[in-house]
Amino acid sequence: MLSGNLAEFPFPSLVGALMQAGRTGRLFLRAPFLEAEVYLRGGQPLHARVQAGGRALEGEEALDLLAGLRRASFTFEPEVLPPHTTLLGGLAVPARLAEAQAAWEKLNLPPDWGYVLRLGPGGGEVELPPEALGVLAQVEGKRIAEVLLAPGPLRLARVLNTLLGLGVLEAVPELALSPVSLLVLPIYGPGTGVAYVDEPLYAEWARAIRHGFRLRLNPSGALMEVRPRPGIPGRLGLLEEDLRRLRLRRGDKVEVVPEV
Amino acid sequence: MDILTLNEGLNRIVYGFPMKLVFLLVGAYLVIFRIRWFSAPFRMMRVSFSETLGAIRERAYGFGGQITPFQATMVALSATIGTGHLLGMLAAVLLGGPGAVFWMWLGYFFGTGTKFAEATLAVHYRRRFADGSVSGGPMYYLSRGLPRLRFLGHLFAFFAALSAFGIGNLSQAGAVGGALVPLGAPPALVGLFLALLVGVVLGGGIVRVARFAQVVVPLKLLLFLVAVGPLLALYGGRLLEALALVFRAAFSPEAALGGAAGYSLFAAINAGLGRGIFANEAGLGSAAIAHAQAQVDHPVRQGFWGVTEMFISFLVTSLTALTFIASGLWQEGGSAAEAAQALFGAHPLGGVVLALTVAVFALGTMVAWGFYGEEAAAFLFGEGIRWPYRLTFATLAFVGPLGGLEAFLAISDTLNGLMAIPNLLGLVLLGGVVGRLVYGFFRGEPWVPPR
Repeated sequence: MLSGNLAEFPFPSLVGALMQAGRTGRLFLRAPFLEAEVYLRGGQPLHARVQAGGRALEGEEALDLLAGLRRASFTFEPEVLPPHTTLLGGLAVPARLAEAQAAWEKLNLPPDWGYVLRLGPGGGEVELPPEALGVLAQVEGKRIAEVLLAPGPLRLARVLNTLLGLGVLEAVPELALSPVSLLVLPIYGPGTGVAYVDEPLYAEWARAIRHGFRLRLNPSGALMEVRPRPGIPGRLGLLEEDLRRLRLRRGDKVEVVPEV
Repeated sequence: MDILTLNEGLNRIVYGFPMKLVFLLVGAYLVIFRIRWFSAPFRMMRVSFSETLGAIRERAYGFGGQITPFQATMVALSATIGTGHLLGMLAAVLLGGPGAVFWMWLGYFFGTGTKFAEATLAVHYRRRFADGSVSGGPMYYLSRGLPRLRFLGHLFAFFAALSAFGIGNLSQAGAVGGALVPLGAPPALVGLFLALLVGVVLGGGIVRVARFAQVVVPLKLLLFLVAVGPLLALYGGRLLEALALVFRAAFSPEAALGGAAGYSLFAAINAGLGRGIFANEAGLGSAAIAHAQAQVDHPVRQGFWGVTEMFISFLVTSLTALTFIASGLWQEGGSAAEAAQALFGAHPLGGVVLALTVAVFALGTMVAWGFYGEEAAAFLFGEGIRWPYRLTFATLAFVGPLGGLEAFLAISDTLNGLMAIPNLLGLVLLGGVVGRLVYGFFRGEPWVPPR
C-alpha cells in the first residue's frame, strides 16, 4: 500500500504518477478537518470527493480544491472501484490539475486549513468589492477548509487570499489548551507587557500552537507578549512595571492561557 | 619551633586586627564598587525584601531541584547563628565596651556585600551533576572562576574540611556538653546522642540537612526570644540609654565611659569588628556552600538571601548586646561565661534557658558544618569520601562532650581563619563577575551559567 504526505509529494504529482502507472484503486487523503478520496481505474481518475463536516464537493471542483492542499496524509488502496463516476477522465484531468496548481501557486493561504478565520486587528479602512464583502460576511469563526468547501473553491480561495492579504481577516489556529497555574516571579528590568515562562512550557505551547501567541492572565484578563526564560518552572516572570500595573506581587497565583 | 607555637603565630595573624581590616575593605569594595548598594539604595532595599521576606510564603516552592532558596538560607543560618552570637557577643562588649557594638554594625554592613558576593558566586559557579544534585561554594568559584589560581579552591577545601572537625564539631559538641552536663546529663550520653543525630542527618544528604535546618533555625530563634524576651522587658527602660551609649562610646570610649573603665578606641574597634566579621561568617566562605544548593533561576536572587542571613544574625547579636549593655553587667568585667550566668540569673527560667539555647545553637551549627566539611572533602577526594567523612564527623561528635583534643581544636580554629585568605582573594578577583551578574539581573537578563 502506497502512503505518504502531500508535504513531500504534492497532489498533482501524486495523481500524475498514479495515472502514468495505470493504477486502479482509491487514493484516500486525510488532513485536519478534511477528508478526500480519488478513485482511479486503469490510470484514469473517475471520481473525486472532498468532505469536511457536513459539506462535500465532488468532481472537478474537488480536484481544484485538492490541488491546493499542501499538508495531508495519503494512502492508496489498490483494486478499489469507484462507487460512481464524477470525472470524465482522459487528458482533461491533468490539464485541470495543472491549471488549478498554477492558480494555487499565486495564492498565499496558510498551509493548515484547520485554522480559524477571524476579523483582523487592523483598524484601517479598506474598500472591498461586493463579492469579497459577501464572503467576509459569512466566514468569521469558520475554518479555512469549511469556507473552501463550497462551489467555486478557487474563486473562494482568491477572495480569502485578498482578505487575508489586506489584513481584513486573519487565520489563527484553534487552541484547546487548558489554563496553567503559575506563581508570579518579579523580573527586574526595563520594559512592560512581557511575560516570561519556563522554556519547556513555552516549547510545549509552541509545538501545540505552531503560530505566534500571547498569554492571557486571569483573573485580570491582561494580554501579554510571552517569551521563554530558562530555569523558572512553575513561575510566571513579570516585569516590575507590569507587577505594579496588574497589582500583583511575588508568589501570587495566576492562571495563564495562551491565545493567538 | 613546634607546631603549636607556629599555630599560635598563625592564629594571631588570621584573627588579628590587620586581617579584620582586610575583611572590612573587601566588603566595602564589593558594596561600593561592585554591587553598588548606594546607586539606588531604596530600590535595592525594596528588591532585597521582595526577594527574601516577600518570598517567604513560597518557601515550599523551589525552581525544581533539591532544596529551595529558603531552605538553603536556613542551612546557612543554622551554621551562622551559634554560640558566638551569645557568649561571643558578651565577650566583645566586655573587651571593647559598648562602643564595640557600633563597630560590629559597621562590620555587618560591609559584610552584607561579602555575603551577597559569596552566595551569588556560589550559585553561578556551582556544578550540576547528572542526578540533579549540585555542589558549590568557594572551592568551586575559586577553581572554576580563576582557572590559573585553581590551587586556591583546593586550599580553601582543605582548610574547610579539616576545620569542620574542630570548630564545626568538637567545640560545638563541647558547648552542648558544657550546657547540658550541669543539668545532669552524662557527657557520654550527650556524645552518643550527638553522634547519632549528626550521623542520621548528614546521612540523608542535603535534603535531610535542609529539613533539619528548617526546624532547628526557627527553634533557635524561638529559644533566643524566650531567653532574651524577659530580659528585654526587664531592662527595656534602659535600652535607649544603652543605644545612646553605643554611639557615644564608639569614637571616644574614654570620654563616654571614663578613663578608669580601661576601654580604648582600638579595643572597641578590634572587638567590635571581630564580632561583626566572625559571628556572621561573611568572608570565611562557609555559608556559600549552603547557598550554592539553592535552586534559583538567577544567582543574584540567592545573593539577596545572603543579605537576609546577615540581617537575622545582626538582629540576634544586636539584641544580645543591647540587653547586656542595658543590664549594666558589662561594667563588672569577668569572663563571657560568668557574664552570661549573671545576665540570665535575672531570667525567670534561670540558667536552664541559657543552657538550652546554647545547646540548640551549637547543635545546629554542628550539623551545618558537617555538611560544609563533607562538601569540601568531596571536592578534594571525590564522592567516595562522603561516608567515611560522615562517620569520622559522628565519632568526633561523640568525643566532643568528653573533652580533650585541645591542641587539635586550636589548630582547627586557625584553619577556620585561614579559609578567609583564599576566599577574600577570590572575592576581590571575581568582583567583576558579581558586578556583571548584578547588572544583568537588574536589566532583566536571564542567567547564563558558565560552561
